[in-house]
Amino acid sequence: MNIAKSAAFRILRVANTYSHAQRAFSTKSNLEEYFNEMFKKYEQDHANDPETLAKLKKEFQEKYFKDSKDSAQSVAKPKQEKPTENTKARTQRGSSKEKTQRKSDSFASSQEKPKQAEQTPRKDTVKEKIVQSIPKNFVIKNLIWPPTNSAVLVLGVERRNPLHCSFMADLITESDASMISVQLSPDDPTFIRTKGNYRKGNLISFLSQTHYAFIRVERVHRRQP
Amino acid sequence: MHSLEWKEFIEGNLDAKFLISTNPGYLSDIIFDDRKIKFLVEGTFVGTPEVFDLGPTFVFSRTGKISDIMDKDFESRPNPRAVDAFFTPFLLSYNNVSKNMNVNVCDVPELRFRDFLVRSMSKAELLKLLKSYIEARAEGDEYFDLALLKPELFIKPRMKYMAEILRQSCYVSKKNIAVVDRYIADELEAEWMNLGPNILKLEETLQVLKAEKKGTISFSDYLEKQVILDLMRGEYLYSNYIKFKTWPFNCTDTLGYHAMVQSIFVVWDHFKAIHGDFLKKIREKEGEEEDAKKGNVGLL
Repeated sequence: MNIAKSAAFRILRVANTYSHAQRAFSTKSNLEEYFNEMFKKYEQDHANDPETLAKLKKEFQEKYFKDSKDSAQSVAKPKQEKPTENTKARTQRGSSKEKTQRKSDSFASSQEKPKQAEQTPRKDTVKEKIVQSIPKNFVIKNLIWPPTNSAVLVLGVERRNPLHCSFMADLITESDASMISVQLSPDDPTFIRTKGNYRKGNLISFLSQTHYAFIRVERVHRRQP
Repeated sequence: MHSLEWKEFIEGNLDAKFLISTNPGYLSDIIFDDRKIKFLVEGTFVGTPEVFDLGPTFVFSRTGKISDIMDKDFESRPNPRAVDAFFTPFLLSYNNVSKNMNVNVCDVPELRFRDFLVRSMSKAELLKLLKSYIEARAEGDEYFDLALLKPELFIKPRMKYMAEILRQSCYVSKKNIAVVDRYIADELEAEWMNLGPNILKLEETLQVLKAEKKGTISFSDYLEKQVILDLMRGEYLYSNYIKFKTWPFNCTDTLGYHAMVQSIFVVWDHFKAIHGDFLKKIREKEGEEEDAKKGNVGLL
C-alpha cells in the first residue's frame, strides 16, 4: 500500500509543477494568486514569528505589487489548517531541504515546527489540482497484487495524443518503476535484430566507417582449428 | 518503409533473429533489458528514418492503425510521423540508465489474433463493420475505434493474457507501470479482480484465441475476410508481408488452399480493388466537399 501512496505523491508533484507554471505565465493578475500560494508555505514554516512574516510580506509587496494596494490584504490572510496525510508526508520528505534553507536564511534561524491545530483541511485543493493537471481522457488505475506486496499503475493513453504522451513521460521519469509493460505485440517487425547492432559493437569497425577507412574489417565465418 | 533486415528476413536471404521471441512461452522471452533496448534504439529507431524519428523525450512513428492518427491529411504530408506513446518508454529507459527500467511487451501476437478474428466472424459481419468504419471516417469522427463495436471479440480475449503478464511482472519487480490504450483500462481492471491464485503458463492463456470450428471454410472466403480486416486496421499485413510476396498464415484446414496457393497475391489485389473502392469514393467526396467550402468548384 505504501507503493500506491508514493506513486500518488509523485503524480501530485508533477501536478503542482504544471499548475504553478500555467498560473505564473498566463496573466499578470494570476501572478498575485501564484504568490499567495507561495506565501502559504512560508506561513507554515514561520507561524510562530509574526515579525518575520510581516518583513517577508513587505519585501514581496515592494518587489511585485507596487501598483495594486488590494493585493496586500489578499496576501495577509491567515488560514487555519488541519494535519492530513499529504501534509505530513510533505514535511517528512522535504525535511532535509527545509533545514538547509533555514540555515541559509538570516531571519529563520531558530523556529519550531507549526502546531497541528492551526492547519486547515488541504485535501480538496490537492484533489482539484490533480484533476486540473491531468489531461482529458487520461485514465489512471492502481492494481495491487498482495502476495508479493507489489503494485501496477495502469495508464490509459491515447496513442497519438501529444499531451497524454508528455504527461506519461513526466510520470514515468518521476516514478521509480523498474518494469514498464507496453501494449505492443511481440511479433512486430520493429523488434527484428539489425545489422547495425553487430557493427556498432566494435571500435575498429566504427573507426573504419568514419575516418580510418583503410582498415578492413572481415567477419570470421568459421572457427579455426 | 522497412529496415533492410526485415526485407532480407522475409525474402529468406538472411538468417535473422528477433530481439524477443515472437511466440512467447515465459515472461523472460518478452523482457527488454538494457542491452536489448540499446540494440532497439540504436539499430531500428536510428536506422530506419522513414518510419521512426527521435525527439528528446518522445518517439515519432508512422506505424499502427490509421484511426489512431487524428488528422485527415496525415498521409499527404511530406514526412508523415506522429507522436507514439507506446514506443516512448523505450527511449525513456534508454536515456535514464541509472534507473534500470526494463520494458515488457504485453499484447497478444498480432498474426495469431488476426487468424482468430477471421475464423470467428462471418463475412457479412465484417462487411457491416467496414460500412460503419467508412461512415465514421467520412463524418470525421476522431475517437472512432473499431474494437468498441465488437468488444467481445476485439478486446476481451486479449485481457486474460495481458493480466497474466502484469501479474507475472509483479513477481519480478515491486513497482510496475502499464501503458495501454484507454479503452482497455477498465476491462483490464475487471479481469484483474477475477484473477485466480495460481500462475498460468502464457500458452494456456492464449488458448482463448483458438476459434471454434463451424464446419469447413473455403480459402477464398478466408482471404477476402483478411483483406477487409486489413483495410480497417492500417494495412499491416499488406505492408509487412504481402508486398514482399509472403503468406504468413497456415491455412491447410481450409478448402481449396492447395489449388490457390500460387495465385494468392493476384486474388489479394482483386479483393482489395473491390473493397478498397469504398475508401477511394469517400476520399473523393471529402475532397469535393472541401472544394465546395473553399469555392473552388466553379473555377475548374
